[in-house]
Amino acid sequence: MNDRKHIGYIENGINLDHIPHGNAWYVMKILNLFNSHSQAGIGLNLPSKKLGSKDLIKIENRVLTQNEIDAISLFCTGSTLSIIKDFKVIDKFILELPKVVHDVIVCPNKRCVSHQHVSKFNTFVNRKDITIVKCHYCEKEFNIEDISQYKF
Amino acid sequence: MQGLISIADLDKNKINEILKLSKLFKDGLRKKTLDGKVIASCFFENSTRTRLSFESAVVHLGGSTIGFADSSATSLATKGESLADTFKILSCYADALIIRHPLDGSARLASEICDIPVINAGDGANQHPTQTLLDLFSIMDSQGRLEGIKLGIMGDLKFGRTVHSLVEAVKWFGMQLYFIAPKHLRMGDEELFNLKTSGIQYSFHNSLDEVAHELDCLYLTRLQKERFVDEVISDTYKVNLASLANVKPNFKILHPLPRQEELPVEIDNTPYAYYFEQAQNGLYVRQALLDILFTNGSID
Ligand SMILES: [Zn+2]
Repeated sequence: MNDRKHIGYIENGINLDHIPHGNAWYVMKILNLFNSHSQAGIGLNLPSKKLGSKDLIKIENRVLTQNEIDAISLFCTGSTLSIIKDFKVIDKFILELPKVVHDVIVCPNKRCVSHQHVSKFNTFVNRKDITIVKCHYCEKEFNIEDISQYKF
Repeated sequence: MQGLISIADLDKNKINEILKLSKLFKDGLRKKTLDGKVIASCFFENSTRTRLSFESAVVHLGGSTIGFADSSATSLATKGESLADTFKILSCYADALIIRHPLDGSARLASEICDIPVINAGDGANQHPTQTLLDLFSIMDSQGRLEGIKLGIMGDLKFGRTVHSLVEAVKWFGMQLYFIAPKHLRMGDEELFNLKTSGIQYSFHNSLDEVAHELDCLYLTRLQKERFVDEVISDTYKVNLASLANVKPNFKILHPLPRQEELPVEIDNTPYAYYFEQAQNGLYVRQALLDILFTNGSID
């Protein structure tokens, strides 16, 4: 109820809830919300029982491609994506860490061939529960926290 | 048709198949598998020994090579064409592509773009799978086996490319590893963890003298002085005649070459010097690889 109070209802579109606090920015960049005509409601720093503090994004008249979902999931693992039609939730799922991310991460390895082509990263969670991204081309592994450049 | 990009693309059976066939070639097997085939040998950076070894392997198998030894001598680097287009064009002229390129991941990219099999002859600091295969073959051929070998690895274990690939492949063969390196040039935690989960035993040592008498093989890496704190420390990681006084009779020294001070020429005349034969083994391993590729239509 609290979220609705802040951002309002969606008629047709998507509702992305329980975004880790601070990560809404990535979603906005990936979906290019700054340069689109889709109406969107953005909630930042909302109270959340599960996360303490969360972000939330609702977008009117927008569908997501699988590549977009994979890219978003990298920053929103555990978030809830609801598909809304006529004010009703017709589909709802929890975003999981994508196995492969296409052309989202800029490889931190300056000598990597991906800078001359597309980037592709495989992801996994290591034994210390850290999300690791591994470049498909140069085969180097990075802690996701150390990735600072993205292709959006 | 699948070539070879990374040692991680091979499993134990495939490695064994390549090593067995390499031995047959070393023992005199002659085949004309590449009769009528054109193999492009494209070296975007110079690496004379690897290139000649590959080209000799092609010729031994009855094939012909086209290509270049250094891309600065071609128009490829200068006309502003994308790397993807360059790879695509190269694949139009040959039945397989052997590629060396300074960028990490370039061989993987080439394999995705070309319709012909690609063999990685070194992509920057990343992979050089035929070097790893010839290293394994050299251990096997000098010792008669791979299982249970006590292998010392000395020098820069953190940055040396050949060491990482070798260690990745060693996990299949139950060797015992002795890492001889200063603390700051040891292998990374994750790599050590992977060794442990593969059941590989390893230990750390500060000098060759500590363990020389236990080893079957010593794999030496190029000693890059700037990575060592001072001269005294880097001196510790050189081989000398005194350090070989108590080694086992079957003991052999391996080195990917070219060498620097870590391996003085005085060692060449000892029965422990195996590195020149190791380089020659590269020819047999590359023949085996090309033979499997063109006989089976795939490496993996
Ligand atoms: Zn990379």
